[in-house]
Amino acid sequence: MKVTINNIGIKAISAVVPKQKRGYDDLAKIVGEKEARRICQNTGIDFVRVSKEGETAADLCEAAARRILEETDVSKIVGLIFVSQTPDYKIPATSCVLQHKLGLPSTTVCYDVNSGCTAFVKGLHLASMIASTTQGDVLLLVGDTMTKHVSPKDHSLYLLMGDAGSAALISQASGKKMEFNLQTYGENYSSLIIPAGGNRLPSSSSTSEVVECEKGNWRSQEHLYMDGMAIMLFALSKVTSLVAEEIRAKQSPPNLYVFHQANEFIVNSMIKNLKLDVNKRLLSVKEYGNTGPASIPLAICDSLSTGTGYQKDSVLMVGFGIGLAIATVITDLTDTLIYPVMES
Amino acid sequence: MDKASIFNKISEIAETEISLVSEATKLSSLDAWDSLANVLFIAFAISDFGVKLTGEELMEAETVGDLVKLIETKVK
Repeated sequence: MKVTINNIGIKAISAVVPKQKRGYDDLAKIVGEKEARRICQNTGIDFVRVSKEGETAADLCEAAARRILEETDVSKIVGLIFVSQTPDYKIPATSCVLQHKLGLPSTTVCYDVNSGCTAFVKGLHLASMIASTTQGDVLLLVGDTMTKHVSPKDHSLYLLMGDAGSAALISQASGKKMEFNLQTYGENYSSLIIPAGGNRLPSSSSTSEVVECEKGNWRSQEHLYMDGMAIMLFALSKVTSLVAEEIRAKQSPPNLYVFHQANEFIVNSMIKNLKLDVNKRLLSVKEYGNTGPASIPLAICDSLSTGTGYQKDSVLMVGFGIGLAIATVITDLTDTLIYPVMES
Repeated sequence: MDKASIFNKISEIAETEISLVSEATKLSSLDAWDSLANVLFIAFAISDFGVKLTGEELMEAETVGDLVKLIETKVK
């Protein structure tokens, strides 16, 4: 679906990553130096951040939210949306726990949404719909701790997925707008999946057994699986076509591109195939890896929190991945308060 | 269609001398021809030839010649 929501904007964005790093040396211990170098050269990832035992996506998002709430009137918050694939509990919704921890009023409506690489854009869509019908602010918290679900013996993901949390505040803003394009390709649901642990395939001794799935890659059915070939094809065909369509539809093209930070190769291939100016795209995978839901706000905080030469009045954000799904939005970040990335 | 560019890309992805890459070369004989290589080849096919290859098609390819044929068939 395509939809434009008028008189709405993002007041503030913040992002938090765990302090602990996993890097090239750790990967080399598993696959050897030659293979580790080959992987890192293609992904552009030197480090990913790894949450501590007991540290959850909600904790990272809470820290990101607290930074924004220091300078916000909490009583004006009417909604909290937590978008994550790694909630604190099976039930209840983590958003309810966060409403309590952050001291938000009981008049706050809370939603949990299960979404990955499209999380931030989809969250903006929901938050905008709520905020546009009230006078209050909506807090959008987006993050994952996917390292807890990656097999330590799966070298295709070991130095790819990183943990991060983010927060954004959405409210009415005269003259600003968000132009969304949201698509779903559910027929590819098994391209990125944790097969076991839900109701379809409950956890058992057999689902937790770690086996060699591809040459040298070991995981169980309770670990994250990614069909890299299917994702690459999706990114460079459907996603690229949709982005081209969005750019064509504008009288003047966007002046900043924030793609989901899948890895350097994918982001740069899309930029190249779309013939876009490489200086107008953000890239922040080197220090953080692919942080899934939080990758777009993290890239924004990483690159735009200090005085930079980037123009921010027409920013195209492109989420794509698990579902499979695509979510794009064009909006203006000129007046958005963007905080530097913090460590938990 | 530029076969040389396909050979060049395969030698680059496989980190192998170009002189060792011919249509008869078995992919299994190339050390670095693994799942990452397949992902990079899919990106190359779509970026340079506008051709969409699937994982299944790549898994069935046994030789460099099979990869060339895959692209040739789809370009037509």
